[in-house]
Amino acid sequence: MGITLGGSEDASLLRLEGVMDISVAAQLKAALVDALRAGKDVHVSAEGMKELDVTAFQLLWAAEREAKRSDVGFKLTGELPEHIQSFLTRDGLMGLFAPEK
Amino acid sequence: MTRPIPDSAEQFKLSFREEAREILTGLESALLELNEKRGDPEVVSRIFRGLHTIKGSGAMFGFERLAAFTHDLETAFDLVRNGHLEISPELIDLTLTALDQIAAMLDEGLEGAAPVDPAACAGILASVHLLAGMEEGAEPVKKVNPAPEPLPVSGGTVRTWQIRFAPGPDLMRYGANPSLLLCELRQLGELSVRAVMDDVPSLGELDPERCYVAWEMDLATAAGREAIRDVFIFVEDTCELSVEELSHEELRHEELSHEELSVEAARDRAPTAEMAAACEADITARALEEKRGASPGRRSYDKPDNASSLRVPAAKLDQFVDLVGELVTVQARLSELAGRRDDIEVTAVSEEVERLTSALRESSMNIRMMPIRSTFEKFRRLVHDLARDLGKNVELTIEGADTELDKTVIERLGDPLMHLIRNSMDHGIEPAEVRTACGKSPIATIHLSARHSGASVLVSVTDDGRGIDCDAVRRRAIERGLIGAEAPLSESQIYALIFQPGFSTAERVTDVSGRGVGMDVVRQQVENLRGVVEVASQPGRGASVTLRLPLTMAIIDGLLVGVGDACFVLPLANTLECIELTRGDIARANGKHIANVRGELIPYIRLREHFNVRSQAPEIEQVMLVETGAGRFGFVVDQVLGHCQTVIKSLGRFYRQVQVVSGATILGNGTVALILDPERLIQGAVSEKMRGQEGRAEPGRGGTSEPPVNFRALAGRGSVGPSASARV
Repeated sequence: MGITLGGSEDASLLRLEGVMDISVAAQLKAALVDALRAGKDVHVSAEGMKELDVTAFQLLWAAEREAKRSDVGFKLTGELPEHIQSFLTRDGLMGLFAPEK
Repeated sequence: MTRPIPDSAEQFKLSFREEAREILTGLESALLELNEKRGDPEVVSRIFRGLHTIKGSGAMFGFERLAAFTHDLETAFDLVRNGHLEISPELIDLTLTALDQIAAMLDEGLEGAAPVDPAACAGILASVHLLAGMEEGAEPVKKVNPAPEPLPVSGGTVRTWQIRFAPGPDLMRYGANPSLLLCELRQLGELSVRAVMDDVPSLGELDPERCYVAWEMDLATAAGREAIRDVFIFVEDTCELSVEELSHEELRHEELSHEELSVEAARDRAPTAEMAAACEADITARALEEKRGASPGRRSYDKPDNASSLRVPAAKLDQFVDLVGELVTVQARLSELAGRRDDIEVTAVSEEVERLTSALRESSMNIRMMPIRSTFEKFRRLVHDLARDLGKNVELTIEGADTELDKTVIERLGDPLMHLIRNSMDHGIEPAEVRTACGKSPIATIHLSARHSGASVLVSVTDDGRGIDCDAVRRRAIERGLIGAEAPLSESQIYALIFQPGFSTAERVTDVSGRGVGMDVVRQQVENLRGVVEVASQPGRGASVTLRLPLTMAIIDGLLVGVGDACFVLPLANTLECIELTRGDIARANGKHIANVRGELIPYIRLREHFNVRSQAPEIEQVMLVETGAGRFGFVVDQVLGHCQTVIKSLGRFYRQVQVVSGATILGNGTVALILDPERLIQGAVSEKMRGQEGRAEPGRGGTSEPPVNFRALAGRGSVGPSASARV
């Protein structure tokens, strides 16, 4: 459970599991920065995510924007849990975060 | 996973506690109002909304236990609101008791807070379940999530509101969650939400615990602006919030603008776009942006346009008033200095500073003024509970709740008023059957009123009960040795005896009163506020106790007078005029301390004698005539030095027994002048004289002697009893 960064030669894999909120926001930021710094495509696995709050969301959003600027791929692997999709839709955030799948 | 909340979160919780307490007060009043207006949908709606706000915001700020407890009450009132549950005295009493537990939960963990009683909470919820026909033995909801379906709002036209909400930078750190606010809004009607990410910085610069996202929303609802703002009540101070109603024209304009923007975007993609049309669309877009609120990155944290008040911590206000007080003292020094120098420019500056200081003093005093309403409203619950406990039917009426008083006075007024009401309910109001037998309405009335009277405010507690039994009071006073068996006391003098320590005519001690403590406390506390207590009664028709209180406690206008080498300040509010007193005048009165003022004989106190000043008196002395609660009196001084604005400095513990002095002030030349309390001076002198007449006089201790009875009664100028006699 938590945030783990791993991957292959071609891509970094960021696995997000459990609650992604302000309590782990600093950790998530550090992991995203490290992943982007590697200069490889970033794959984010969010299937195991239990909760997502706006602080975690804005980090993912900023990372995706950064990746685009650096011409690095930023991909979401697997499906976001349904209740997180509902949260994003309810709060008007859904359309803003559209990484490749 | 436990969310770490920084210490600063406590500040946010503090704000929630303050707001929630206000909501609880409103709820209490509404519940008691509902008791009289059963089923009034407006009141039921108000109660529901209050409970809903406490629940929702409580959950947001980590008061989960409170939120869970409130949830079931809210559900019960939802049933009432939807006509599935009838309002009953049981439900009202249960909810009132529940409010006490909610208040305890709010204070949980704070020093000196009353503990929450889990058994009582469980009992209340069980009773609510039973009354509301909710599932038997249902567990209280552990985690509160606002219901997704919109709440029915009071009927009316559905309007569309444009809302912009940008959370303050620390909102998330405080444990709050903007998502819950959006859910709350959704309950008011149809909500469309657009998140604005314009303020989100680059990943490297992003503070991970800060919320950069703002939201723009359109809400179609029948609810009003205030109901919408209520959703944000606990975060309003730290966020940017605008709520604007969209007119039909604006709605059409907005739709049109969206179309134009789409067209513009299409043209942007096609480089052949007509510049003029694009500019027009851009202007429309900017206009729309302005309409929506501050532009991104320019957070104003403005209050709503219609906001007319600002919440300021009381400590800051006290500090401000203290500083104004210091300024008044310095200004007095400047005036003194200017008076000694023959410099027209210094004099002009001094006069200007004096004028400004005076205006600032007035303004600062006005800031401290608060309406007495909240203090009065609190007693609705007391009257309701006591009426139930005593088996009496009592209605509380309130008049003059908007009358303003100094914050300090209001804070200290609750206790004496509570004693007066308890006493009235227990001893004054008769049981319903007795009232009916006397031809009175079985429903008794206690009337709380406040009104201005010169520089004072009169706060009265009046009941329509049996009145004060004059003979019983007299008998009891004789038994206790407070008065001689043959003491010639008027009715008002006798009424005043009820304020003696430990005095009670009650034949039995009840939980409510009868121990003879309350009324003494009333007198003490009112006198500590530099006020006086006045009593009036009519046998069989009721009694009235009036507290005459000063408007303010911090700074007063005074007249500086000299006696020998000493200076004293007499409050200007009491002062009527100044007349001369020659040695011939004294001789004509045969040594009696009575001045003849245009035919009216007015008793006076010679401060020189009172304070044992041994220096030679001037040939012509001055009599300061003052109006007190007991009538007109005079104070003889050597000379009147002039008007002064006086900052009241309290005297040390050593001088606490010197009751004729209400404080001290520092004069412009740095010397200290004592501020005299005319009421107490007269009271002391009269009681000393009375003791002498009764042959039980103690050795004279000047103004420091404690009078055995209330002065006003002795002077006999009450609304009952004979008029004052000049016996000083």
